[in-house]
Amino acid sequence: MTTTSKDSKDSNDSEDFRALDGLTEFYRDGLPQFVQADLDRGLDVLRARVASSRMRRPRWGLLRWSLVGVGVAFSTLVVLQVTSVLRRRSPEPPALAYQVEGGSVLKGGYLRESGHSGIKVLFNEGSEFSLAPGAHGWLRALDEKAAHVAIDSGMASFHVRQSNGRRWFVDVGPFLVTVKGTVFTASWDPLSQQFELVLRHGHVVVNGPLSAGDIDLQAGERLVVNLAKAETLITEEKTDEGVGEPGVAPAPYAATDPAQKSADVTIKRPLSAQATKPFPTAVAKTEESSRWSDELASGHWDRILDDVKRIGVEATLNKASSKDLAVLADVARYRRHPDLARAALLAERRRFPDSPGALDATFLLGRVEESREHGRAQAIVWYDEYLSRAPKGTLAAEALGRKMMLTGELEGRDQARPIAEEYLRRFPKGSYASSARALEIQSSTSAP
Amino acid sequence: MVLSTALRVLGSKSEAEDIAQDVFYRVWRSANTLREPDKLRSFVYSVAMRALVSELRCKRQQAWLHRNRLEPMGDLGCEMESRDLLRKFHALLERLRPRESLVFVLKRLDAMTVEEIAIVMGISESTVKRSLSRGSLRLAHWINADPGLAGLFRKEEWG
Repeated sequence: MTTTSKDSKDSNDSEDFRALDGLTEFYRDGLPQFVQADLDRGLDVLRARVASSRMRRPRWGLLRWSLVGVGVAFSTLVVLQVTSVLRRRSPEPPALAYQVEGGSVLKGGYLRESGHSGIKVLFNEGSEFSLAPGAHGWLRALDEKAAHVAIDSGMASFHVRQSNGRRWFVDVGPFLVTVKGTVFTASWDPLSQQFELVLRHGHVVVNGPLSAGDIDLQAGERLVVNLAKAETLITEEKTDEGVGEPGVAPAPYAATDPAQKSADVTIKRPLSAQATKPFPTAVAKTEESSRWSDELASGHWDRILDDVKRIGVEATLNKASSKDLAVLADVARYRRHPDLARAALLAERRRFPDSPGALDATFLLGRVEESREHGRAQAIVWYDEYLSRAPKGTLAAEALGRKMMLTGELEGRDQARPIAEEYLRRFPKGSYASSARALEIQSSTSAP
Repeated sequence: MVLSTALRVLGSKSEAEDIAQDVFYRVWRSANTLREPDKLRSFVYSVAMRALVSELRCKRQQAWLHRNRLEPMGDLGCEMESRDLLRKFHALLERLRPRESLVFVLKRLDAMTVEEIAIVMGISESTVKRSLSRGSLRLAHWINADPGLAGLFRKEEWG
């Protein structure tokens, strides 16, 4: 297989390279492109792995960490002696680094959006914030002791992790939000002079032109201040999904999405009464993560499929827990076994009809049908069922968006237009909003 | 970007998807080590390169030990004749050393510059040039040694 010097010399001739050039070009153009469905499926896999790895608890490290702990304890004793004279000095947190998605940072820290899908800024300490499309904001100051961000207009969602005593401040219009490590959404509309903050976890202190002074907000509260009307209102926010998982950033802007707002929650509390009712916390997950969840997170999908082969498909579908059926459906989808995925999802619906998993299964059945050659019409049926059962469900925007796209493909733009209008009315900032607007425009221009 | 490169190198859509998911999962896990946001593209690509080199080495070992691995190009869904030709070229790419194969794909198929390739692969520019030259010579030699392939491309004009 070695190439001799004579061979090399001969190959340098352009005639001999012609075949290589032709074949290279054919190979480049001949390979198929990945389509949106491939990318969607890949994103699904990533989301599942990320979510599962966040939930996973380390199991292997007990012995190892015990040994490390003994070593660290011994070292600490020694180090404490040496550093006792330096105790007055507070430890400095590491430098704050960040990366920007969907835009860039201009001179002075101004965040410029490169497209129309907002900007996301991720920090090395684990904090992150997102600017909604059209929102304007900038990084005022970032150093070892504090991070200071400003939102001039529009909406932004924050997920701030407390680390090494670094303090976070957010200017939202004329208001200053002092963050204590939390997840929240804030917005400022300069035209209506309205400030709004929805706090999902932790607590923040809001300082600004408020008649009652600083406000200490607790998790689950919404603060709305309208300077033009001189109104300040704090309400308890009850949503379908509860407070959500600690440590997981909220879906950007979901809290203020009109379709996600709770309609009948307006418990006004007086500003003087800072003590608040505890917000109902999400049901704690006491269930130990199953091995399949771990395997899913580790990417060992074939081990799960091997288990199913060993146990038998029917037995698995009849005996597996709701969670394991969901894992199996995911693995089957990722490994392109639509029949198995569909069977797992149908089993989920049949055996656990009232569980949240059954609702998700309804949506996912639509996704599975989409991956089948002639399954798009059936996918619409599943999306319709999801929307009828959970019009404000967590996947409603996605279901309506997929229905709109599939209807456009199968029945034409005119049929899809009413769905696009409904989508824009309910989810004006949803991920299918651009497609919906394009459908509206195309449909209106093609009309006689 | 990562997907198409992985597809060209591995010759299988599902393997390319697996690698790409692994790459982005690794990127997500190590994102906090990234100090300079401007270098995100290089960072992602360098993670991808390491994964691809590792995968290619693994495939070479498997081929040598078992010779029973899955045949590539089985999930591309193109015409049989085209698939045969793609398979032949991919088989030649697989005969190259992993580094030569990657450099060839990045330069000739992904149209990256020598400098970019050197950065993402963590090697010097001269090593890139050397690998490209050696890889191209070997490929040309093997193609020309196959009368069917060489004849096909001498008769027809491509591009």
